Amino acid sequence: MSQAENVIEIRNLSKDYRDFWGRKKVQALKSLSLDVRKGEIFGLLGPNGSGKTTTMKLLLGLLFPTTGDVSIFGQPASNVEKNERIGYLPEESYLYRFLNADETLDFYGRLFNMSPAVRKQRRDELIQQVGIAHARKRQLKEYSKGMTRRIGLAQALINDPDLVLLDEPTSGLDPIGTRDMKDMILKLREQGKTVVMCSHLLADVQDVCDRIAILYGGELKVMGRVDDLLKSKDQEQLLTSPLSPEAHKEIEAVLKKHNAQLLSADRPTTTLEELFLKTVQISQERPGQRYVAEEGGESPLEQKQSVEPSAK
Amino acid sequence: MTRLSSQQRKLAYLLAMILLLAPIVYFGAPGDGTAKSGGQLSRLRDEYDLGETSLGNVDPASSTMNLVLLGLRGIASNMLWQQAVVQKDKKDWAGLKATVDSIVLLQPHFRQVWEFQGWNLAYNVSAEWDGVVDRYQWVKEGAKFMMLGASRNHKYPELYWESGRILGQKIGRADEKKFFRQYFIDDPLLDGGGPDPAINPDGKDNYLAAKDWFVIANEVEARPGITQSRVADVLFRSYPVRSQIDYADTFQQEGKFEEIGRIQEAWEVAFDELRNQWGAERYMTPGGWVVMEVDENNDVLHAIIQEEGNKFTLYDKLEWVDRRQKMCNYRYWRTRCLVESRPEVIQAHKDLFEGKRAFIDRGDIQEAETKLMAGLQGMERILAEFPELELESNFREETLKSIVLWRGAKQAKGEEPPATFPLKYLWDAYPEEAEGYTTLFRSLYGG
Amino acid sequence: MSFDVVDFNLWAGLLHFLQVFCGIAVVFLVAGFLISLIQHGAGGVAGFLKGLTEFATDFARTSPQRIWAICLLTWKEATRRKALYVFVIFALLIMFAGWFLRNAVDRPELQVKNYVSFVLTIISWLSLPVVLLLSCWGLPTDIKNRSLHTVVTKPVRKHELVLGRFLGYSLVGTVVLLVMGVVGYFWTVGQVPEAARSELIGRVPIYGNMSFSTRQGDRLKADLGENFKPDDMAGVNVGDIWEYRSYIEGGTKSRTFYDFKDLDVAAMKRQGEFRIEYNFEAFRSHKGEIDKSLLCRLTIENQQPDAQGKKLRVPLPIFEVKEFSNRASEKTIVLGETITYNEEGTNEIRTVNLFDDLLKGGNITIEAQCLDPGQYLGMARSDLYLRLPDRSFAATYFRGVMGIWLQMLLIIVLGVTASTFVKGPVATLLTFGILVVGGTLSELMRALVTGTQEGGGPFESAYRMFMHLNPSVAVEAGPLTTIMQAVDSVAIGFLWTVQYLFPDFKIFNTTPYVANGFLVPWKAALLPGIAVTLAFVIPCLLLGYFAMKVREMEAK
Repeated sequence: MSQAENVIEIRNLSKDYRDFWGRKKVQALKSLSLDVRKGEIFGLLGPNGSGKTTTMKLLLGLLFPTTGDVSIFGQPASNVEKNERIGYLPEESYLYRFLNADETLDFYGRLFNMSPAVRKQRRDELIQQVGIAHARKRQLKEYSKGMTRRIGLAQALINDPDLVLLDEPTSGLDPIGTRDMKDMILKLREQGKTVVMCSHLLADVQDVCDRIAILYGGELKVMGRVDDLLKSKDQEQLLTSPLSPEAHKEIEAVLKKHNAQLLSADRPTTTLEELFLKTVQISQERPGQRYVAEEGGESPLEQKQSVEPSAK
Repeated sequence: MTRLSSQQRKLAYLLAMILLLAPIVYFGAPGDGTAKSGGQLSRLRDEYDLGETSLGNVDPASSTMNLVLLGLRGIASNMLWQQAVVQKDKKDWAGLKATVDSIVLLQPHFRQVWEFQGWNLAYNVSAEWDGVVDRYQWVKEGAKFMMLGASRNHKYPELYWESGRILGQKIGRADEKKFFRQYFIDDPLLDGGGPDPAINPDGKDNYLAAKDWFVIANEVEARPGITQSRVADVLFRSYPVRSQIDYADTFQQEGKFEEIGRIQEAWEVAFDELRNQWGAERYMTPGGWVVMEVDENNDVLHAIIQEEGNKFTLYDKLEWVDRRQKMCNYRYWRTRCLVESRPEVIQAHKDLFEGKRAFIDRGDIQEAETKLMAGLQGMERILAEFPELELESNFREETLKSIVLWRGAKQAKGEEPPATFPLKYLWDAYPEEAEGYTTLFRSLYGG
Repeated sequence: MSFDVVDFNLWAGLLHFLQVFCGIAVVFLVAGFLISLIQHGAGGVAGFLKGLTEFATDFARTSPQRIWAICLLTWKEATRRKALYVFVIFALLIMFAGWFLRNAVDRPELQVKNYVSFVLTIISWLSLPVVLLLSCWGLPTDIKNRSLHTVVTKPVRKHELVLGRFLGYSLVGTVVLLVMGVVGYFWTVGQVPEAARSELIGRVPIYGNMSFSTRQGDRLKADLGENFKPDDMAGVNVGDIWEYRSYIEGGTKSRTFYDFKDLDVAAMKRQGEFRIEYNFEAFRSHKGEIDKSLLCRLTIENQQPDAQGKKLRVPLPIFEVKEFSNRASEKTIVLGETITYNEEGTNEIRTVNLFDDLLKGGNITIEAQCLDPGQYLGMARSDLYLRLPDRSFAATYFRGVMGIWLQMLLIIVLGVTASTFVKGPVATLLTFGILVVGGTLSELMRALVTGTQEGGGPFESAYRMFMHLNPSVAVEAGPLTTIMQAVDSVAIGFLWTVQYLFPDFKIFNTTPYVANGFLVPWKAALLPGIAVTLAFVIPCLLLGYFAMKVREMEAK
């Protein structure tokens, strides 16, 4: 893939949080490098405090990197111009609670210098799209969590952005809300937009993301295509309709014949969860190990050389 | 844990509230102003005179201000006081008055605030203005302020006393007394004239109005537990009768002899009040209780000695009576009242006054000489009877000035002043004063 | 009336502003450059230049629509958060104000002043804290709630954010002030007693330059020029604590001269009358005639000599000085078209035309004389003025409200700027501190800086306190004194540096004009107010921009 198609390029990005006296309190991000390609849905995974949101905020210029560079559309994160093409849904919906949905979208529309006609058109479209038409005149403080996420997404899309950054898009949503949100995200990809989302809800990520990166303790542990990452090389999985005990016996016999062994016959687990937990476990056992991109693609953590933490 | 339904819980709360309310009502119910009304606290407050209402009339605005300021009224009134000082320096009189009004809203029961600012308005601010009517207006402001203070503080005799002093002394003795006394009865600042009901509701002479205030001051001071801290008791008690004397004296000095009966009556009232009120009052001394009016047999003193269980001798008592009498010049005032109420004395005053007017206003030398001589002869007779009057400066001034005028009249007729004349011994006894009045006369009328 | 009206010199002010502004700008640029150099080494130079470029492009791409959006947001925020409850308090105060103000003084014309001051004071005391709190808490609350995250991730420039807030709070403040102002106006007009309603006016005075003569009549420092200084006053000091007025002795040739230049005689002629109002103060050294006020005479002298080199002098009728009167009609001398007067010296009766003869050329001198021997008349520069046709009370009242408005804008600007780099409570304290220091201590500060304040700097004064030394006593020379004064000079130097950072809030107070029935003057009161407010808007906007630029929007 050529460099030109990278929407986001992060190089050796580190972020230290300091206390009032300038003493280092915590290193939230350690030497992160990754690219996000045009038109993909990229997921940032990690437990709480792993540096997902920090990465997101560094991308947006809300935080300044301690070292390293971020470029979005080839421009530094501190550049305001880039915001013309970005949409951002923050972790909680930090919108102005005293505005109603119409006013909210109108306000953000004005920030993009949209003409009144365009503003009105976008507003109506988005309110329909996120499904809050019934509540457009109510102040946001009366909104439920799900409705808040919806209006949050609407404001992120007000400028028809090329790149959408979603921080925990499904958090606090009920199953139907989650489904709707995921559908909307997938629709964004269909429209050719690039999406970066971070989440700790693995099922969501698994469902929508093309590629993921798993962060732990501020370090990138795993990165790759979801399909590749979940493909186990020493296991095969059969998916069937429920079988009778007789059928099980027969299958075991067949396997024996082929010198194979039936390892488990359960229903399949959420395998991303497995991957995630494994990554976390390994990271705890062997701290300092970090994902480094190699030529020829990306693979899970354990097959890569380990990088010892730099002496600090 | 017992489970109560929502309704039961509400009832329980209601019950608890009523139970808690009961002691509040028992202790804190406000009284209706009569004794033994209201809750326990109100009664105690009443019993020990601790309530604000027992201090005087309460201004609702004042209570509101105190509530709003949440205990910062000390600081607030301090700042206002400073502002008042600046406003006075910068001659922002209306601002000063408004600030002072705010101060007393904050400190309605602070005696010194009322005394100081009332005095300030009546004396200092008034003196800054050039127009007489303007000055009078500020005297009135001061008087009203002081009276308001008295109405808010029933336990401070000083405020009643100061109100009387402004009405009496400020109006009656200022340089502008001629105008002020007249304005007091006929106020030029009021539409249609007449006395200002706020300070002179009965349309009295200023000294009589002042007397009323002094009488109240004395009554307040006589109540148990109340004392005043301005002057010695004998003096404080003297103010009503002294006001009566001032009234009579001023009336006479202004030459209103057409109301001769009124002058005489005024002096008689003064003499009566002096002996039977001021003089009969008991005063505490190191020698026990005394009165100033002592009869020949010392009956009153004997009675007191007996009451006190013979702690003091008559000799002690008489010594302290004498000391108190000297302190306030009691004997002189008694003599004066006695003398002035006599028709022949009033006649002598009248002669002297008319002689003076004839000389100064009309230049009628002949009449002046006759009247003055008649007056001087009258005075000589009185002085022969009451030689101690000689020591009184007003009396002396009147007589000596009359002699000067009489001599002037003689000179104007081209006659040499005779070597002897009535009261020559007085003329010789006070050569400096005689000289001074002569010089004044020459500077005014030549000769 | 007791205030001196001095016109504001806009050009001098502007020059001064530019000096201070450029000075501070240079300091900031150098400091920024150095910091960038230290942090990034050689790359810092590029970084610094990049910063400057960004600054330029940001400002070049300012979008009015974005500013308006933030302004509207601010308005909605304030109104929906019930900031306008302040009206309720205002209404209550106005309703019950009568209790406190009614009949404070028996003279209605003195009362006017109290009513007007009360209304204007209440308006500013209620509206200013509201905008102060609003402006200091808006941005920090946004940062704390992270609402700002959704805004700064849009193409909003940081200065648009600051400017939008400025405008938004100004809008809130303006509405609050307008409503209060209008209600207050009708309240005042309604409350003022019928008898004093004629004093609700806006006088338009023309002030002259004042100078004095000696008792022999010789004029002192006859200065008609621009460089008039109050020091040139040389009247008698009668020992008044307030050294505002200077006195002339009656019965002598002592006179006060008021020089008026370039009067618009044509306009006066169209009006058909010429009015002189005075505010003299009487001081008696003896009782005199108690029931008569002091007598005064004014003489008008035309400064254009005739063919014989003689100047036309017209003595006006003698009048009694109405001291401290607040009634304009009692103190105003009205001259009609023709004036009949007694020629000085010859006592011959003559008649002149006011506009064609006496005011010809527009340069006149009015002389004031006290006629009572041994008595004194006190006067200050603003105690005698030509009274042009009065403006309405509404005109001066709303100009007074405009004074409060300007002050409000300045507070908003300071509050918003403070809130760009500190949190709400700190910003509130900071702004309030600036308000207090600027409002009450600016005179003291100037006095300390210029050295006119006795007692020296902090160390010297502390030393004096411990040693019980009077400020007017010189400190003994010695090494200790030298050290003390050296340290003090550093402190004073610091004060000198920061003195202009505190706006002098006193200049916004136009209440005395309104309360005394004068039109709030444009050049002496409103112009300096506007100038000061503007002088703070620009630097504050820049400061806010940089503060927002260099800070991370993450609430801690």
